[in-house]
Amino acid sequence: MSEVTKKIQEHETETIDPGIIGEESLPISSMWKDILRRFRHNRLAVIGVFIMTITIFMCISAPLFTKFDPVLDMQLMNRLLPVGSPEHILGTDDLGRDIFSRILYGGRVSLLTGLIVSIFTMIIGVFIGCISGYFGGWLDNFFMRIVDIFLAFPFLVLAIAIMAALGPSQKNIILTLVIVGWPSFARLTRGQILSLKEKEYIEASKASGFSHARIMFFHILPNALAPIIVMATLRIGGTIMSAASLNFLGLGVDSSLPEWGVMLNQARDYMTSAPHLSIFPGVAISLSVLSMNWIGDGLRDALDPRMRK
Amino acid sequence: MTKYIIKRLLQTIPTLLAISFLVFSILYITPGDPVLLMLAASETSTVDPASYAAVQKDLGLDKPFFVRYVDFISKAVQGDLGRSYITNQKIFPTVMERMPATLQLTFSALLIALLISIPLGVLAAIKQGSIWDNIATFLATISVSLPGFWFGMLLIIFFALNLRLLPSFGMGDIDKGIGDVIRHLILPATALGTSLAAMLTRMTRSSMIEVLNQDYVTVARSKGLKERTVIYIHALKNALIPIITVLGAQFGSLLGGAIVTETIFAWPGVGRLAVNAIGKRDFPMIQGNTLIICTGFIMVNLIVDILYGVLDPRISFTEK
Amino acid sequence: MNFKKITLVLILLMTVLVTTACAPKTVDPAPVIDEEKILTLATQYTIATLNPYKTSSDGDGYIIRQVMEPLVSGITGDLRPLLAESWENIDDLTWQFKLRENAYWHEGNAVYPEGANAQVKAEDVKASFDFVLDPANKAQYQARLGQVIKQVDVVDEFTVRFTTNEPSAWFLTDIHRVPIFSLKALEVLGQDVFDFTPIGTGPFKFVEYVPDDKIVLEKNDKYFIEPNLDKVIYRIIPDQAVATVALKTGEVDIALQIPVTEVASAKATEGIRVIRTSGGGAYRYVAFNCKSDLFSDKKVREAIAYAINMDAAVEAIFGDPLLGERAYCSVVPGVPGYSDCSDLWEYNVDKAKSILAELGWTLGSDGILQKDGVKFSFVLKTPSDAARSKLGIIVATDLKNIGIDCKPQASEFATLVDDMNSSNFDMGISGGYGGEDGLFMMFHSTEGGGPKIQYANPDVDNLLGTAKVTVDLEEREALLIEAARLIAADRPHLPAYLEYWQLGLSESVKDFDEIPSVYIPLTSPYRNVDIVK
Repeated sequence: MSEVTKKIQEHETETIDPGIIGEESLPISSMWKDILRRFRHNRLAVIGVFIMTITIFMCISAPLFTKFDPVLDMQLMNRLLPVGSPEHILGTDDLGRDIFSRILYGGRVSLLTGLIVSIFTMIIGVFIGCISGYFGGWLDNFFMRIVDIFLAFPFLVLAIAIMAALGPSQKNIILTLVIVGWPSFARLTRGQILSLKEKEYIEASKASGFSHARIMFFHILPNALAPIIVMATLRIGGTIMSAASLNFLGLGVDSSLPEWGVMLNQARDYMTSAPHLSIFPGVAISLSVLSMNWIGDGLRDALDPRMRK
Repeated sequence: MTKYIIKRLLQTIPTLLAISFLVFSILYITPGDPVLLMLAASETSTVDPASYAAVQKDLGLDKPFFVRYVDFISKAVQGDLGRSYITNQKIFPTVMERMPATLQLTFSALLIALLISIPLGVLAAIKQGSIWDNIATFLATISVSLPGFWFGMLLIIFFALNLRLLPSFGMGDIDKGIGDVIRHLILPATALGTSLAAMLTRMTRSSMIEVLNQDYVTVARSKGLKERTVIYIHALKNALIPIITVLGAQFGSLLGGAIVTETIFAWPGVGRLAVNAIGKRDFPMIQGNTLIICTGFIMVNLIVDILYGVLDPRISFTEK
Repeated sequence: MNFKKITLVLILLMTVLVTTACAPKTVDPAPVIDEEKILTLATQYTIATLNPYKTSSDGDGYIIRQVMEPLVSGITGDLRPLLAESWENIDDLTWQFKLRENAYWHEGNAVYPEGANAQVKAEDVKASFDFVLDPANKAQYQARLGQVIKQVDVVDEFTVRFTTNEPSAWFLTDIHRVPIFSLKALEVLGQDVFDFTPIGTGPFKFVEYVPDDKIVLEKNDKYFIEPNLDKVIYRIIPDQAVATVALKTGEVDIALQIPVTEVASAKATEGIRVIRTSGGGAYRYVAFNCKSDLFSDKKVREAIAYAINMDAAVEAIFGDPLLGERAYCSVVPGVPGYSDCSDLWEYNVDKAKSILAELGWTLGSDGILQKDGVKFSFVLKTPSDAARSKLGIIVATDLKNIGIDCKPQASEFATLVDDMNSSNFDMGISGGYGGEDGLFMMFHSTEGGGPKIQYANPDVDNLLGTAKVTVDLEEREALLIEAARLIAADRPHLPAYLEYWQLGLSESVKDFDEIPSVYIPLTSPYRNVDIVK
């Protein structure tokens, strides 16, 4: 290997995670071990994982934790029972249904929807943003104009149309939200790529003859990840709320089914008279977003050693 | 740079054409018939075919899709966006007379968001891991998980009802003084700006952290520059790039009318216009409104892209 | 950083700020004097138009009907003289109205300058009606009125005669839909301006409309009764909960609609009263598509009726009979045709289950009833207002509890209208029409809403058709009562409740309670609303 190439490689290994380029530097298993170790030492990230695990576990095994059916156990005589009532720890809603039960069962749909939409919009958006920002030229123009169209388009019109064409179902709600959601990721990623691709080490990578795909996804992207991960984790909460508003427009499947966003919507009329109807789904959503945030931050920190203080 | 701007401006034409075609097509396949709605069709009345045909002809809906589209475009380029099905008033002046209200709200929201998020984000970044950092993250997360109507309502109940400090709805009147305008702006702008502030705070924080660890920052420090200069001038400038991107993208939704905020606060802007139009399937209004807002949004994106170049001289506008 | 570039950025920002600052200023036409009596109301309805013959929306009517007057005005079943002083039924087909001789078009506008003293006479009334009846003018009520009215004649300077095509039981209701307007105004102002500048003979003159924000009216000092109020201001507030807050803070004096969940706290606020708006209540029901696969068998509809605890549902939604009470009949109390049909409806889950079992429905392994491989599964389409979407959920849950997979789906209005109109539904929740011709409008198989729910009963059609041309009240009432009971037995509808809109007002508003509606003039021979702070 020539002196120049070696110097370039050394320089690269300083700024980018060892092991991703130049497999000859470190064995992969040890790289993952490193990442895991850094993650585990991040207190908040661990707490995030803990909270998420417990939440997911409780939601999946809801029948273990509550005897009430979130839909069928509608006891109209027991409406709006307060927190701490016998049999109903979190009280009942305006139709006499147990709130704790509805939170648990509701989490299944909400978390799943939130996570899937976030992940898919991120993948699609980042992919397109990468290509757009990296190659530039007419490709960039083309994609960014499409992004413009999507971002400027009124969400309501698009949502109604898609659901009308496809029919109401949870799958289609997810599809709608992904279609509407990827453009902002694309824009963000493109911006990041634009600023990073001019950096010296990228010039060097190109000179070294690495393929475009490699440079794009292994050299530039990892460094661009920070704000993308932030957006993705914050999106989860927003997605749950958007899914709820789709329900409101009549695009939902079944408005008696529990779902955190829908519960918040339906609790709206009772904001002052029965705040516990809003508080619990709100807390559930916030807690999920918060812990995903910590996990996301932890991941990003673990993947990029420069972040550590 | 000028060539770039001109090129981009020219590109808005096909973009707008594409948007208008998309809106047209989407409205075509969407359920909901403006003729029925106009005839106040309900469960209690049969719509007699003669009336239906008459109204349909009136609205021009008896013509086939492409004829209608070409009609619309040819009038649009002359500046005539048609008339609303509901009010029968011209679309363009109707939208434009409400635009200042939305702009006022949007920019105030943006201002509030920036005023909160940038200092908070920078603070969180500098004191990473400290109590400030955690508070900032926590607040940011909560506000993003709060639905807009919820937060807006909360503000109204607290500040207008309980404390009687601020008005509960409506836009201020400049004839009654700038104070009146500001008093009416505070709550809706805060409601609108908060979730944006949340995202921006987090972005600023992570962006700043990254930038502060960069080589050139270390270099600047080693040069003996004051810490403050280092942070604000060198670091922040580069940290701003993703922030500007997010702002540009979010502006679309803000400009799109901040529908929920305008509805809650009875703010007379384009958002409410849009919602009403969609609810009543007022096709010309939906199309006209969308086109105007999209144009504004595209301009904003252009400004954002230019700002990239300003902030980061390495980004060039010439083709490789 | 390059200063040139900074400047460019700053210029761009400044341009934007300047455009914002150049917002058109709302013109305050006259300085507000402290002693001025201003009544401020909160309405949730956007203004579609202020043109009296183009609108059918209540929200528009709230304003139009303070500015313009029809011949008669009032609430359903109690229409009183307004622009007309009196009338008589000369024979079955002829109605003759005597106008009051002190009605003048509003002055101080582009059409009638101050001191014009343009009096309104029979020819103006005829002109208004002729205009509306002419199909070329595309008036909202042209079709309906055209069916009823054959001709309008001027008998003398202040007397108008209407000739109908057949004896019309609901004639007064029909003509009360036409506020008398000035054709000269249309000519002078042109259609666009006319549509948003109402000029009439009413107690209040139109001043300005700030789009989506407010409408300002001022008193017509040439009106034959001097209005107590100097100004009436309507604020458009789409969210009813916010309007309630505005009422509590005193920012508005009347909130036209208080949501059910806010009533208690509004009542508890000092200085605020909550009263029921006038009218018999809005009739809401569950409708079947009587030709759909699942519901064409009357017995199935019966079973469903037994399966739903409607009384409990209504109690759960409203909690207070003053806000909403159970309806057993498709006619609103106070309107001919109403009778106590509570004997026709019963909640009995066991009966429901046994009927379905008899018809061959058995519980599948997934807990859903099925017959011949078909699951008893369908969507219940409801509007998205609070009460009805809740009703949807309750009804669906009751049905789920006996094994019917009913999915409640709240829909936005336009989609719902589409579906109902093309009978694209199995079961839906809807709102009826509480007017005198309600039964006819909802159930007649060819001239009413029968086709929507695919309902046709020739006996019912006969009764309704006869009632339509029966001018004698008692006869008509008997026919309608019989029709209503026949309909109930067929069960195309499951009557749910009567919803009573609540209006909130400040105690400083006087003389409003008896006729709590803004659809009726604030100043008339029957009341003169005042505000005493």
